[in-house]
Amino acid sequence: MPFWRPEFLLLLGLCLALLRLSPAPWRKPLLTLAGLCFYAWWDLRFVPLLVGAALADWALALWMERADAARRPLFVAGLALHLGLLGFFKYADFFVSAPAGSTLWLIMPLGLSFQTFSAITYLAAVQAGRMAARRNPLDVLCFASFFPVLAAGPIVRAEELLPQLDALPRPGADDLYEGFRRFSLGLFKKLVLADRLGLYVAEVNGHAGAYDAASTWAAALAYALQIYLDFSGYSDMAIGAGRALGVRLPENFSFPYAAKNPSEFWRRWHMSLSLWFRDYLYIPLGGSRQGEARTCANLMLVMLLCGVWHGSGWTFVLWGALHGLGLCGHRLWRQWRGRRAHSLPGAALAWAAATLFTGLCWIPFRADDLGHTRRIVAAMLGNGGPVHWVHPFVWAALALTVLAHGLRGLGREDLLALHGRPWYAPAVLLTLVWLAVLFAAEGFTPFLYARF
Amino acid sequence: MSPPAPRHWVLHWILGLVLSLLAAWAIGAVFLDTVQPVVLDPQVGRFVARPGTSYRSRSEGWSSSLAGEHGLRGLPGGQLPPGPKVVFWGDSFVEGLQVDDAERMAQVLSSLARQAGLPVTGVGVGTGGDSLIDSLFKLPDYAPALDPVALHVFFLGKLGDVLPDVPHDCRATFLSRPKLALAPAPDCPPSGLSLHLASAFRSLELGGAFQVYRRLGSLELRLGPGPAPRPVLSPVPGPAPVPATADVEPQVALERAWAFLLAELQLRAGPRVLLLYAPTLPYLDRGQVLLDDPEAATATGFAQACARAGVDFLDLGPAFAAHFRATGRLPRGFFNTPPGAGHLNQDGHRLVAQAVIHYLKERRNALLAP
Repeated sequence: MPFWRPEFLLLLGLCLALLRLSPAPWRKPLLTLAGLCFYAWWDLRFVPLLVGAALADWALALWMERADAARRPLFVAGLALHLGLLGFFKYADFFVSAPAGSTLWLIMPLGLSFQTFSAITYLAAVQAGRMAARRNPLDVLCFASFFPVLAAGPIVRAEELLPQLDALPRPGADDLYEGFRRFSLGLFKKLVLADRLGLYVAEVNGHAGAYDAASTWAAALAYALQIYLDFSGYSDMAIGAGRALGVRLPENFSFPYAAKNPSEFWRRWHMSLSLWFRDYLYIPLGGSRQGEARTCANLMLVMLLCGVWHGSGWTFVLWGALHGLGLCGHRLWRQWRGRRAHSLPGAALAWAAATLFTGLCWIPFRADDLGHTRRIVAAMLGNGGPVHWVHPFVWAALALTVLAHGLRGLGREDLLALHGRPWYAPAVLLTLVWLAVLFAAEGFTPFLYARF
Repeated sequence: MSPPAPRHWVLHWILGLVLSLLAAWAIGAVFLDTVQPVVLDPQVGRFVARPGTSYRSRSEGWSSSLAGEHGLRGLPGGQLPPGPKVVFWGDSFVEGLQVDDAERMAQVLSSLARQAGLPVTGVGVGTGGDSLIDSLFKLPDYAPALDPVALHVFFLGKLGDVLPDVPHDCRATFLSRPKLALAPAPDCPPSGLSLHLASAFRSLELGGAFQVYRRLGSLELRLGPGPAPRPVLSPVPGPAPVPATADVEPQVALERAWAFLLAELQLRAGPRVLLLYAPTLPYLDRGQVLLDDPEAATATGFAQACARAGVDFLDLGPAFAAHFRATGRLPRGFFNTPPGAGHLNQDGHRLVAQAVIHYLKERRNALLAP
């Protein structure tokens, strides 16, 4: 159920109304029911999978708390369950089709990658003793089916979400305004900016080799903007929907294209995933505590897994490897150069290099396969065709993104974010909604990250 | 900043609603297509674009055009000129809403004819969605208004127009069964809502409201659980569907159908007829710019049928390909739509007009003799 569909708005509105009217003990069952409806709207057949996995987590966590229980094996069993499901649904086709040329035609359950990581945070928290296992299975089911984050995150940890679900408030004016504010911004980013950029990117990349270098570079730029506006727009809508329900979800983006190096980029891009990988993989692997060589190996491994998490294809492996190399390269550069503040030209140069690097890394990420990647890169290097087309909308979207990042750099992001309810906020937000209705690209364009 | 008092906040939302609607209206007035009101023209007995109204295209190209007498676009002073005319018949390609009036094929032809000293004016009678068969039924209705006609140019943007049994909603059809026949369009007048409200929407620049109305009309709610039913794709006519019958080979049946169609064409339009085929090429396919017409076999067959019937047929494919080789530009597509796809752009309209001028020069004595 995409967030801009009337069905979602109906579900959210109904849920808000019922939460407003219902006493506190009813709110969690209501929210759980709404989550299951959200999931069933996509595919009823997978509801037992969602419920079953949540009940397994509930049982495993309870078991861990028994005095005689060996926590680690139980945690590993939980990991195996979730990673096994993820591996089966996400990668089985890749491994079956690669040698045999056939496929199992598996349907990837909605948001499985995100649910897997959230579920692991619950098991890990109980195993480490950071939180108590829930006695009531409804608690775990409500956590697993919290619908604003069900499709594509942000990846929310059990320690963050479960206490909020325990104390779910009656939806109030402040939460509704903040929710509407974030939701409207996200709606505009997704439907007006990202989807329209997507039409251009699909055309130029789809015919890579026919277009000239300028058009292919413009498409690369457009995709860098598209994926940011699409996913941050989705995250804004998820955070907004959560906030309207009285739940504060973690931020997922913080002006990533303002980053001046790959490390900073990953502190600003898909933050809930980056932090998950840091806390649940990079640090357990030893992090940066065991020498430079081991640190670089850890970084490479984490980024390769991050790439594979996004999809089962060599393009994602390449994307992860490039980012791993970027992180290692930056780390070695910093070692050699020492930690010094940038001069203004140095900062500009670092920003340009980081942005170019990130933009180029998106090429394999977007491409169908490695051959397609090669054709796009060849076209960018001047070996493309004669057709020229640079859609002016790319420049409009670029200008808006630069403006937003610039205001952030000047410390005036409040002008865009409309915090504190300035008098003009309703006019701006409603205008964004009308523009989303008027200028949404025709046809169904799912969230890019929903497929991961 | 502290939150405003509830009373002020309500006022802010009311003010915000008004301001946001004004902002959306202003932006829509620049960036959305206009609504085109239609009226019943008693002289031709058809619904036409309301004379005197201008149309703004933004979704494809960036243009404006003015509807004149009988809803025809780009007429000097809005009136049909006296004297011999070259009449372009066709669909949205001839209507050419995507380019400015002066850049449309009929108007470019007028301009080129003046330069070449040819005493003709171009007139485009195009309506989006029309087929060749619709044009044949329209022809007698417009004949008194267009007289004298030096040449009827029937524009074919796709060869489906000359194939029998291709269904078109609310359009005239070319039937092969039970016998070869041309059937007029069923009575499909515009909805009362669009007839009565389009003018008001047009005058008030409410293209945005029309857009919302259109989107709401196509909205499909699904409140039941998924998976969503897969959409059933309607069969797309292939490049050469042939009217197979029990007793004749498909190719023979197709040639008979074409002979019938061309005879009807000559009967209704007279001898001064040119069939102008503008294939979708060059086009992009998996990283290549292709210059070969995917419908070449059908086009060749139809060209041979035209030659047998004594009807002139002109394939613009080679001209389009040569233009691309010389300039790197494609005849279809605009700055805001993919190259090689969609309607003809300024280059495409000019190439059409140049081809017809060339044809006229070659047959100057036969077509333009006083």
